[in-house]
Amino acid sequence: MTFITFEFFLFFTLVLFLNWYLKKWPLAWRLFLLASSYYFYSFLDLKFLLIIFSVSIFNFLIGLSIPNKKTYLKKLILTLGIIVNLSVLGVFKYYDFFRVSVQSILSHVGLPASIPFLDIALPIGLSFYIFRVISYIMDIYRGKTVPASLLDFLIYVSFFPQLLSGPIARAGDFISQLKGGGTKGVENLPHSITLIMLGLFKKLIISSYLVLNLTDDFLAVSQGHSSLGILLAIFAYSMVIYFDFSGYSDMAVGFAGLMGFKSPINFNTPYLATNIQDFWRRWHISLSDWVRDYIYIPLGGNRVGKIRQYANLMITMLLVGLWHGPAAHYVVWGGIQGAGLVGTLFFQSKNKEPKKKNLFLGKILPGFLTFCFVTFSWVFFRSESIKDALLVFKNIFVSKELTEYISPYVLLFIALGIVVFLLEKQIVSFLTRSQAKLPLIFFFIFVILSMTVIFYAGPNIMPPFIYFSF
Amino acid sequence: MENNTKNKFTPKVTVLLFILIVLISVFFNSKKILNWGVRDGARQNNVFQNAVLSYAGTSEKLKSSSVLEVITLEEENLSSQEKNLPAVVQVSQEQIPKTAPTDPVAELPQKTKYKTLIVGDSFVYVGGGVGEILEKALLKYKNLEILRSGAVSSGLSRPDYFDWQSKAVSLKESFHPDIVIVMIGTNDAQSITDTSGKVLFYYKHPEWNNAYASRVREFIDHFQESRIFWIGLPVMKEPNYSSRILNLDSIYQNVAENFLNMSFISTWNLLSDSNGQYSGYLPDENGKMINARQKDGIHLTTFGGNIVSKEVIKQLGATIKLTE
Repeated sequence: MTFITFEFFLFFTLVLFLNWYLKKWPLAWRLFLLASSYYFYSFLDLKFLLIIFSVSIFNFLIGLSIPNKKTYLKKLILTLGIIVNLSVLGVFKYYDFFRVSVQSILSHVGLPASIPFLDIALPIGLSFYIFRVISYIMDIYRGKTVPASLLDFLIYVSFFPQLLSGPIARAGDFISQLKGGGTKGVENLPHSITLIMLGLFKKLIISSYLVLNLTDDFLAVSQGHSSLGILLAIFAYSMVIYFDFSGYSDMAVGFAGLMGFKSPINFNTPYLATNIQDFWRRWHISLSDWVRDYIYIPLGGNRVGKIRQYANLMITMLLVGLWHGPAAHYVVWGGIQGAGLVGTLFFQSKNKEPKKKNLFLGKILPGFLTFCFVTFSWVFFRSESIKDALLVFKNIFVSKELTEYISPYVLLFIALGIVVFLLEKQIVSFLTRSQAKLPLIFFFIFVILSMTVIFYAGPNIMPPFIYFSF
Repeated sequence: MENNTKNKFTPKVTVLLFILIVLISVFFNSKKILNWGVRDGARQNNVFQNAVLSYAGTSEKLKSSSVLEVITLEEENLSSQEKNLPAVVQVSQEQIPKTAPTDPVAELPQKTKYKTLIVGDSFVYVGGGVGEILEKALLKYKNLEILRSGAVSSGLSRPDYFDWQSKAVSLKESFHPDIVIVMIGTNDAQSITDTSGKVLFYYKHPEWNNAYASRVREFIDHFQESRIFWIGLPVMKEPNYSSRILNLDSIYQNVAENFLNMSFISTWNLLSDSNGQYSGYLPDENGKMINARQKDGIHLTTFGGNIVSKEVIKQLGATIKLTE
């Protein structure tokens, strides 16, 4: 059950009602939040529920054991916690890759070995909640947060709007919202509704149509397509991945908002970034912050001299690539991002006091170049192998045709996409303010009509959310 | 203003808004919901899905002036019958569809370039499925010219969503294929409708198999001058769905026996374990277990797609000489 099903809307309506009704009794309310999250997760597979519960209990105990211990003991417990968490992630996400790789290496050196085959399904959301629990135990170790009660912690790990693809909320920020039955009023209904509508629009209308009518076809088999057609598909994929993931995040923030929860924002108009560093401050922010706080800074961050800092950045981004999946094309993608970040820092260190530039040289040109850099790097992200990605680039140059027929609808969706990503902040702000001003009856009509139209206009099938695979 | 806004948007208003969204949006989108419900049934929660489907069915009934057979009710009856089926459907060796040998009468005349059309549903269209891998594999043969045309969620049962018969006519007229490779049916084990969406036969209707077989024959008839390779559907993860797919495969196999220019390529044994049952992982030539199926238990990974692709090329190679 994903956000974009009527079943979810029915489930959420019921949850919404009980959420607000039960707030009078904080314990019952918190028990209800946990039950509804577990119920939501159980739709996918009951076995997944056992895994999330076991991971939660283990980390809860680790969290309890850290405070008031000697430093070396604290470190030992934390290390144990991190190793176990990464092992769980490793078994579910990387075991098969590991098994096949080790077997082939051993057989190459004349040592045929059989590593047992296990038919393991990756529980959706595992990568995200493992990151949440690691941040929890590390924050306790650093004294940034205190151990939560078991119930609060179980809710934090499994809270259903953020469970499958984030945002990766920090324990301190989330658990404080559970105190005393949480907030008693809806903070900003028009804003949450706007995010849900925008998320639906991004995913159902722009992303789905572009996937079904352009990118899946052109980028999967680029042979036989024209040079400009392939370039257009690469450009469109940049939109697809942004609208798919940010659409999901918008909805996650919106649904949590309607229940009275504040979530970290995950995207801040990333395609308007003027360099790669700026891009990663705006793209998948909760993940970028996580890797900064729990990988980059512990590696030494920028406190260890220029060369080590560059190496730390590269290591961090290669790990981000690997986090997406055990495949060389993700590592290459991570490496490209790392190289972009290192290049940006190097360039900045050489130009400490940049001259005041005009709009074109200061924003438009660097923004365009950053967008192109990110867009072309997505080809490695999307392809099934490095070879496939290189083939896409090769076909741009060797294609016999320069142009081909592209449906005007596809061009219309691309145009719509450009408008949305250029003016997203203004659109959200305008819709929020307008709805707030409307009399209640017109507000109802506007929202219901918009939702009905978006559902009506959506394709008959919705491609799965890209980030559910990670 | 700030206070007004806060007072206006209370939790009660929020809940009421969502009740209305569900009631009104579902009412207006009832047809789409019924399509979704039938197709994605196995992946949704029964409690909420049945509630939404039954309301959508009622909405559809209210909106329609004609006496429309409500798919929902039939599908609900069906699922209650199918719930009694064993978790694993036992498939005997006789039931497993077999690849029909190439008929020598239907051999193609010698040509320097054979126009090859690959058509079908998501198996053909979606990246990572059979279509993409097969197209890539066939592109290396110089005497083949390839056109791939797929439509997600499509099939022969629901021409109201996508009309493959009309599409076949236009593809034939525009491309004139010598060879047609078809993989279709994933979305077909449901009520058969006409082009307006009117239900003609629900899936368990005694006439359903005949009606569906005639749709398959009609499709084949469009390509009388072509050599047709019909790729059968593989075993599926969800047992009830898999038993329906087995039924479809037997229909394709039966139809193929009556057409000289049509070969049926069974994928059941290729993509199942040694007992003919579903397995997400299959051994490669070295006996290493590799993931062959996507998470949905329906579609194929690149490895799975390669297995099918190799078999198709083998069958194709028995009909024409493939030049690299």
